Amino acid sequence: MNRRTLLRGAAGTAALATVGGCARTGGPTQVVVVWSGYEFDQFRSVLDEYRRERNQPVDAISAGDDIDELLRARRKAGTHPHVAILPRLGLIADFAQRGWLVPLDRATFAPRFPAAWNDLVTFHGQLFGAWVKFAHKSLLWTRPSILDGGSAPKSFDGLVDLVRRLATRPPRPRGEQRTPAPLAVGAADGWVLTDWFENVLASLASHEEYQRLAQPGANWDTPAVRHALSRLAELWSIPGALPGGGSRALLTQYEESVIQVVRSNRAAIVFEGDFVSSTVRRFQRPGDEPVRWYRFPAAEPGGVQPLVVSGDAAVVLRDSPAAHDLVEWLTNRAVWPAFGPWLQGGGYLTPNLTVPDDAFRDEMALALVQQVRTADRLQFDLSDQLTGRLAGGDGSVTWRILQDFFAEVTRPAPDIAAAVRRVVRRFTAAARTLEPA
Amino acid sequence: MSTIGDRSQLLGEVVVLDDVGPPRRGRAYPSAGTTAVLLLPAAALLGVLVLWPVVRTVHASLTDGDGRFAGMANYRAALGTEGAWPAVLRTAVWALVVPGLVTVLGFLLAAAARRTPGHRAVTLALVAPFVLPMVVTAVAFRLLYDPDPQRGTAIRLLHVDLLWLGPRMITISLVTAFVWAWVGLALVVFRSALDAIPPQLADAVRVHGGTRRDVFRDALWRPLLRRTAALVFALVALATTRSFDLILVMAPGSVLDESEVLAVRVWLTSGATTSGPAAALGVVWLAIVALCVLIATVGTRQAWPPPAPAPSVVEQGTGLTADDVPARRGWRALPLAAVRLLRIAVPPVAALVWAVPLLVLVGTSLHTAQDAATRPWWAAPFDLGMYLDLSAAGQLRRSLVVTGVLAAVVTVLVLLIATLAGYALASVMPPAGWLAGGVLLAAAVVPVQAIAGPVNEVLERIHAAGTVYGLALVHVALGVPFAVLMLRNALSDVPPQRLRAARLGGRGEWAALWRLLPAAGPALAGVAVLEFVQVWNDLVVGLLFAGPDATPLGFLLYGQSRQFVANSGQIAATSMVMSLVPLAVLALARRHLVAALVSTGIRR
Repeated sequence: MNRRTLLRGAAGTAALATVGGCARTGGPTQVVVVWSGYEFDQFRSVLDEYRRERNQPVDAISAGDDIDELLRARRKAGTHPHVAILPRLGLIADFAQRGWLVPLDRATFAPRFPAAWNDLVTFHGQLFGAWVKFAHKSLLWTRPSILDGGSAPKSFDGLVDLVRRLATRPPRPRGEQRTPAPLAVGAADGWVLTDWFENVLASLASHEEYQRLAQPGANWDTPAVRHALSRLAELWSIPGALPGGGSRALLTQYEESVIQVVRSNRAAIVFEGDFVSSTVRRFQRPGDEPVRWYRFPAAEPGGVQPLVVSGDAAVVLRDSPAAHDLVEWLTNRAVWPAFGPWLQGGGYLTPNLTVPDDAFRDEMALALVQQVRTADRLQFDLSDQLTGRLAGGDGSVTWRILQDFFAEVTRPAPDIAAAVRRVVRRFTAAARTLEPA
Repeated sequence: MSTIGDRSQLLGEVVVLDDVGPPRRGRAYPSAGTTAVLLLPAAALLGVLVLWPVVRTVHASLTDGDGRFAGMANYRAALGTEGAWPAVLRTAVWALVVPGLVTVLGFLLAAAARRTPGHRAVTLALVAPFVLPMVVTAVAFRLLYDPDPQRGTAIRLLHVDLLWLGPRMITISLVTAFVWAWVGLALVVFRSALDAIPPQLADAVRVHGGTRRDVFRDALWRPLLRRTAALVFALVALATTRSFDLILVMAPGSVLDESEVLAVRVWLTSGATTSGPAAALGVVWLAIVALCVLIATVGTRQAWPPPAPAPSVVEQGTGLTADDVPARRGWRALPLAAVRLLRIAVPPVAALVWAVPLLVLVGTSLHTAQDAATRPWWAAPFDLGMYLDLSAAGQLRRSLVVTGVLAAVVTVLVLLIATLAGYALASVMPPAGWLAGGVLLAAAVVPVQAIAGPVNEVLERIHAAGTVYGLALVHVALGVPFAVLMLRNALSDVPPQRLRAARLGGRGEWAALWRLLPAAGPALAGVAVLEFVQVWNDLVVGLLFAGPDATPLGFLLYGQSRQFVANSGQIAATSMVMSLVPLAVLALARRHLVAALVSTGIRR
């Protein structure tokens, strides 16, 4: 009650300030996001709640992967939106340096998130982002029966052994379902491969070493990088590991790889983030054995299990009370129920510390959120931090290098050492080129 | 014959008019001032949104980020990057091999289809793919070439377990899709050319003891076909820039490099902003296109596009084929029964083959989302769920409205601006007329990806970047040059009696133009139909310039296809909905569409 009255007051001053300060008056608050399709629909229904509660019109705009170009063009034209929700740390840093972002009130926002998360969006001592959503990207998904009642491998060696064992299983007798290959990899989408690489690397490298790779001009020829690549090659090159082999996997997109496990029974295990659950929900047959999640194993026995996350942070581009109000609302614990349907549907988690545990009715969501809240080692998605020629997207050099690597090591009798050397060389060369080609 | 008579009459009239007193151009043609006013909208639009961006691109390719002269540095950087030369080569192969295939196939089918029973239906089946959006073609072929051995229609039909979308085959797969879409154009153009050749010519050659080869050479190839073939080749070569849409939707991310052409590379490296190396690649590409046009104009040795055939000519043509008994007897006299059988069998077979990708598309759209993504389309139970879901979702409805309104508004604006300019240019005599034609031709073939950055700068300057107005403006600018050429040709073919009647009957320039318009009716209808279909089918312009407030259909479909297999039911159903409008246009305005195609082909 108190909070509401206070905020309504704030909204009143907001309207006044807008009338006085800037030519745009009373119009809808504009928020630009990268989400499209399912995620965008979910986000829009969250905003419907905001509209009802605040009686303030708000327009959501889906910019897709082109959010960078869109915001730059709009900024130049002077028609930039009030708020944007950005997934790429590199972009937030860049916009903050240019002075395009309005700092947020630290006293309001800092207590809502773990310190490590606030540090990611703090530049020159000022807080520029409030986390709306994150994805837990260190998960393997499979059916418990695949593990023969045992637990999921805790180390990469265990995973390699498991994949070897599954790959050599005898074909089932006629009339039964086909034996699934061990591993589904959506290698047609480069980001799936970068996520694989980041998980192994996060387990091997120190935080500083990991972060150093995000710097322009970074040297990629480090023992950790080489070791991580070798471990991946060891897994991927197991004969029979992939349904249809490596060249088929390179034509398999991420969602199809999930379908191979959950519906068509072509593969047994798939790796990706918590958002796999939304595809599982769409394609799982009723009555089938449910697919469960397990943590990605440590790269070496006794090592740490990696925890790689990506996140979307709300930033204010147009200094208006309406913009601040929306960001405040989106990250306020009291509006948690508005996100309920998204959580139920899958693919939504928040690092917000003030959201109470019992808000997560979903067992998986609560477990994943707790892992992130309590983690002492947490790495942010590396490809979201890369800049220049290595920055993510269609035709990105990062994706290409890893796809070439994947193609090379999944051929019969691959020369893994040579493939690793080539990857390291190409990454270093690309990192030295600052400008996009 | 009659056209030549008309022309001499026209010259006569002009002489007579000018003989009456001191030369008063104003009586026969718009005055210089009026010409300028009529040309202004088209000139402003083209100058700002096509010509300046080209100049800016060339400038950017020669300067560094701070505007200092950089010599060839950008070119070296752009062509020195990994994969640049293969992309240039692939572009050249697309521009040379694909048109050859389309031309030969189109000719053979046109020659054979003439004598097939039910040739109308066959022709329609072969032409239908041409009016479909390229995005839809890409969707149909990606479904057809699904790499899954259980689901892949091509794998099952041909009994070859081949990764059609893999790095080795991807370019060939793309080419098949492109040929599938474009053979219809070649077929229609060759058909009308063959119909226009008087059958007596063949008889004359035969009477003089000519063999079959002589008949082909002297009665078909020399009089008309050589030029037609050159024209078709050039049109298709220019159209290969549209492989962009195909590649974007058909090629999985991992084979993008193996399928990349300059259009894709320029787009990927520039991201619709102006940057030195991307501009350099754009200039290389513009040079290739310019070369194509030059070869085309020299090869066809006539104004391009040629004047639209008046409907009377078309009717005359069909009239001739209806009673060209001598020609038929001539062909029948040939001893080779096998050839005749082939001739009769090939077109229906081709029509069946051509129907396969559409069948895959329709089949896939008629399942639940789960079945469409996991089971073969021919084995799963039929279900209309995808269409019901689509009609319930607001996104598609919004896109349909946006695209429909956009296409209608753009068409009206293009017609308006092009009619004024066409009327003004119709009376401009060479060499100024040639110059104007050359500029328009150049503007009509500039690939928009190469100038996207500067165009965006212009749109930003006028606060239209990322808005539906900016999008419409770019569409209009890209549509105007071609429309002006068409209407100029149509209006300069107006018989002098009508011209004089219009000028005498109407007070002032506007009234005269208004009275003349019915004479250019077929051309206007052709331009309108082509422009509407083009904007409706567009992906590139939407991709480069659409803002988030309005999502055109092509762009919507492209977005859905980012996770292709999982969404294939939805993608196929959206493709079907998107195809309905061009197919309806083909059914309703077939004559106008075909007439316009015969005289042109499609830009971009």
